[in-house]
Amino acid sequence: MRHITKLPIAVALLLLAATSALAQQPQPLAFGVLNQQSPALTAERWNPILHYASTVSGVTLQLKMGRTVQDTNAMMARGEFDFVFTNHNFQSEFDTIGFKVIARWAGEPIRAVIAVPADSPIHHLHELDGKRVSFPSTDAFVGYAVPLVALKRAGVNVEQMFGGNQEGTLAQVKAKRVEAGAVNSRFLGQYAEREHVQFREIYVSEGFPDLAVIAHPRVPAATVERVRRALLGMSSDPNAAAVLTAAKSKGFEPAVDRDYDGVRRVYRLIGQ
Amino acid sequence: MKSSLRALLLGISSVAIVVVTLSGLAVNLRDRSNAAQVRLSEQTERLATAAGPLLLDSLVVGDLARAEQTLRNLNADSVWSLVTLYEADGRLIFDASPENLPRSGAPRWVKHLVPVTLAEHRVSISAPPVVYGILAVTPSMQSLESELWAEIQTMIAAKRKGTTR
Repeated sequence: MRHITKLPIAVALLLLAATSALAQQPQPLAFGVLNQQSPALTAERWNPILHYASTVSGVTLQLKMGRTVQDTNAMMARGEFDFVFTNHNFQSEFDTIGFKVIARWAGEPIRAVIAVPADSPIHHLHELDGKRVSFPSTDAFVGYAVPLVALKRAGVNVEQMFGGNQEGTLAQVKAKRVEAGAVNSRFLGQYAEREHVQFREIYVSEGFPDLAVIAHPRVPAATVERVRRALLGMSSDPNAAAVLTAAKSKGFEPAVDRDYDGVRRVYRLIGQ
Repeated sequence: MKSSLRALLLGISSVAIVVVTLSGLAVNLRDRSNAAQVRLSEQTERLATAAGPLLLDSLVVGDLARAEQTLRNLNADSVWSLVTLYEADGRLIFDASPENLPRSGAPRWVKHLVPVTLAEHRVSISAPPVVYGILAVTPSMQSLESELWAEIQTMIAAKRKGTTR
């Protein structure tokens, strides 16, 4: 009889212990990624990187993004991300949040490129006057802000079309639904290689630092540092080599907020 | 005596012809049933594989409503009788099986030619190492019956055409 009365107590204690263990499991931190590609391609590129960074840092990171650039930016504005890979935060509307730059995508600086199909009769920027030009979105930096400033300076007015993301814009150029497309130089090369298509560049901007990894101010400094170290260590860790090759990445480089002053300046020129 | 022997031989020959024809028909039907089953299985695999990237796009951004709509649109012809999406750990995310499966219109005897159960096909919706879901689909029996019945009708029509010439 004594055993029978003890059984429910033991079960309750076990349940309590299990619940408490579950509650103590750290929740993954949301790692937002800007829509430069479709969500599926973004996940294929970023999930191995985040898995590596989670394993090395001990901070569980989970990919999060919106369906569109606007959705992802809105999520960033609402504070739904603990870390973000973007450069849209350098628009003035995000200034008050206080994101901190912790690293950037390694490699050559990115440039805005306005490209046309290889067999296009258009060879110069001024020939685009009145023509349809695709941009990823109005929030894009090298895909919109930089080329728009260049077009304005050249006195060229174009009919603006939008492809949703970098590859969407290139797909529109490939399909010849637009006369030209403005994109990030990094994506132009990758897309041309993958899709076996040739483009001709009619405008190439100065270089800007590639997208940054930024941390939300609510994330404890120690956690930010662990993630930063894991990302920066990827390029020298043989265990990360396969991940970086698959992601066509050279890893991450140290970066600070003032590296992006040039980006802020261009955004302000177009009123963002 | 002579005429009854002739009648007997004629009867035996007729029975033999009927038996041989029916046997041929049965073999033919079995082959067609197997072929239809293989075709349906291939179609299921093709559709489920095509659904993968579409579902991944929706699941990465957490848009379950769109994922469900994608599956309902892909299965508009009710090729699948059971359509479910599971979490990697086996928990059900949603069931997008058609609510009212259309009747095949095939006669009852055709239903005896199709297997009792059709194999479930599973596709992992993942961007490694993250598995966003497991799509499980089962081809519908009605679809198989309809296909087989259409085959039989074509076969009968061809035989008739052959005999009337």
